[in-house]
Amino acid sequence: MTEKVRKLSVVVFLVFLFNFLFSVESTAEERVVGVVFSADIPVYHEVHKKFLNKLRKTGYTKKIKFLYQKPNPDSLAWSNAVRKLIAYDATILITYGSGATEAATYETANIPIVYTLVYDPVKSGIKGRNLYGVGYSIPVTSLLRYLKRTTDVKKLGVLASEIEPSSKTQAKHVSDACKDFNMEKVLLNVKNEEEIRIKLKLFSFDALFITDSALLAKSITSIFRIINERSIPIVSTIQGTEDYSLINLHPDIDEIANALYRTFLKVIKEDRKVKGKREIVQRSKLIYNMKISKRLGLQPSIQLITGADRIIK
Amino acid sequence: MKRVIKGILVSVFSLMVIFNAYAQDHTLLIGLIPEQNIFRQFQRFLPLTEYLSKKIDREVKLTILSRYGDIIDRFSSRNMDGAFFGVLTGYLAIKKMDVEPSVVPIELDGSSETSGYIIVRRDSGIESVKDMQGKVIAFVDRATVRGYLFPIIYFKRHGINDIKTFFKEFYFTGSNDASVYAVVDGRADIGCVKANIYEAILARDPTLRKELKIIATSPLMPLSVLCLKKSLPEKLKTKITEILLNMKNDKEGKEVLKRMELKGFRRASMNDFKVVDDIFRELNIDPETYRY
Repeated sequence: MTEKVRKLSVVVFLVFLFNFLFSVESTAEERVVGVVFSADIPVYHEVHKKFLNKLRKTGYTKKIKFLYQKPNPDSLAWSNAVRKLIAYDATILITYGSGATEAATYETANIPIVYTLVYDPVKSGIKGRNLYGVGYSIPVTSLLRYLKRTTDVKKLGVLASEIEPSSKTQAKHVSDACKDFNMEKVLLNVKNEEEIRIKLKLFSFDALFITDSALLAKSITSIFRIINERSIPIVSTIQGTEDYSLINLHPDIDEIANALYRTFLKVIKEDRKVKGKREIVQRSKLIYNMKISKRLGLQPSIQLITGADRIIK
Repeated sequence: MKRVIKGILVSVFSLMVIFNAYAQDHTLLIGLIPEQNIFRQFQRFLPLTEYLSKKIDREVKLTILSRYGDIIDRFSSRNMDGAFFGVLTGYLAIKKMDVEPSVVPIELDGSSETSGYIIVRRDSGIESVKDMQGKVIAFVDRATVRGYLFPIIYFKRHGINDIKTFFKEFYFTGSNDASVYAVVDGRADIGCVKANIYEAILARDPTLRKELKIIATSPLMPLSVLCLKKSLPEKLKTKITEILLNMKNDKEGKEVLKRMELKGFRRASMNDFKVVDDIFRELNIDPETYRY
């Protein structure tokens, strides 16, 4: 009996030892990377897919366990999402959009944060000790210029999300540019979908500029429904809203994914010597929706037809 | 009887041939390059054809080519009698085909020559050639000096021998205004453009001045050159040239020039192509084999 107990103890000990060693080895090899989307919208999925495809080629994906959070676009949900990932021992956080990025900088100063799809990060006040990332810039003036050539706009509605730094910065840039184009701006700051509906119905304008925001991208169908009733055009800088916008100018998604991949590699390799914690993508894609143009009875713009990267017919 | 019918048929056929030749003889076909978008370009030159038709008592028609290089290839196949060539296509046409320079248009400010610019956005961070590595450049067309060959020689002089490896991507927009807007919109980081068209775009939309800047300027070259087929009757060639040179002096001519936003025309010569000749020599390119 004693011999049996001894043998059993040895077996149990070996099993425990094996499990312990295995789990130590596993944590030594596999790193947890937390990913937060500012909302569950197509553009984040598309960039992330392209980023993973690049990463897969390096073999890194085998050593990384990705944990995802796709909260509703609001400040509290972003903070909770980041906290959950920290609790799951994420060693790096990848944040998509300025809302989740800002929340991450509030929640941690020790875990490296790699952000992406943030418009003008410097002016948007995205800063932190352990912050790396990929921002972008878009010439919003181009959108206003094309819009002016397509239709007579005296009052431009500028829809901005109060809870997202990128959206606020872009709204400011659009508002500043309105002066140069002799347009009056009607700034519509919103915090949630309900406010979007109320403000869009309350104010009058000749065209609507949708700034870069996870909240606005998520609410695009309800925005479109309201605006469509008034037969006025939408212009936007969010990829994935082309079917609803007369003109869409968004950052080049391939460039964003490539820059994210480069930045992420620097961080995961802990390559402190590599200069530059931030990359700014300046290339953009222009989409002209002729279907909407026709429906609104607008004159087709030759410049848009010849210059656009894609025409929706 | 058969002989009579045969005779009538031969006579009718001969008359048809003569009539056809006469009709062909009476239409002068002038080619245009798409230096701006083709609709704008066509509208600009239409008043000139009406004016010339009246003056030479012969129908003058325009044909616009979809790309710069086409004007060389299609000159013979479309049976053109002349064309407003770009300075490079004109140079190649003179080298390869039987054409001779006639007149050069004069802009409203009195200039008949313009430079080429290499432009970028002011917020691009690009100050010189070294900042252009890994960026995207938009040329106009391989068959342009200001929109392609000048930038190539400029980069070569700055140590860049292979644009394929230096730039992340390069592409051809097909027209000067498309190059400007590619840079304005951020679809290209660097653009190459004819200076007079760049200035005209900025004059129409002064807000662009805040957004764009010029990195390099080429030597001056004629805006465009009307070249005529050598085989046209000498009398007709002289008449066309003289009408164009003197149209600034008659009321109707002045009105046409105003609509074309031109001051007039000046006589062209082989000297107008010297800059292109120098570039070909420096790049060691044979005009006969240059692929446009």
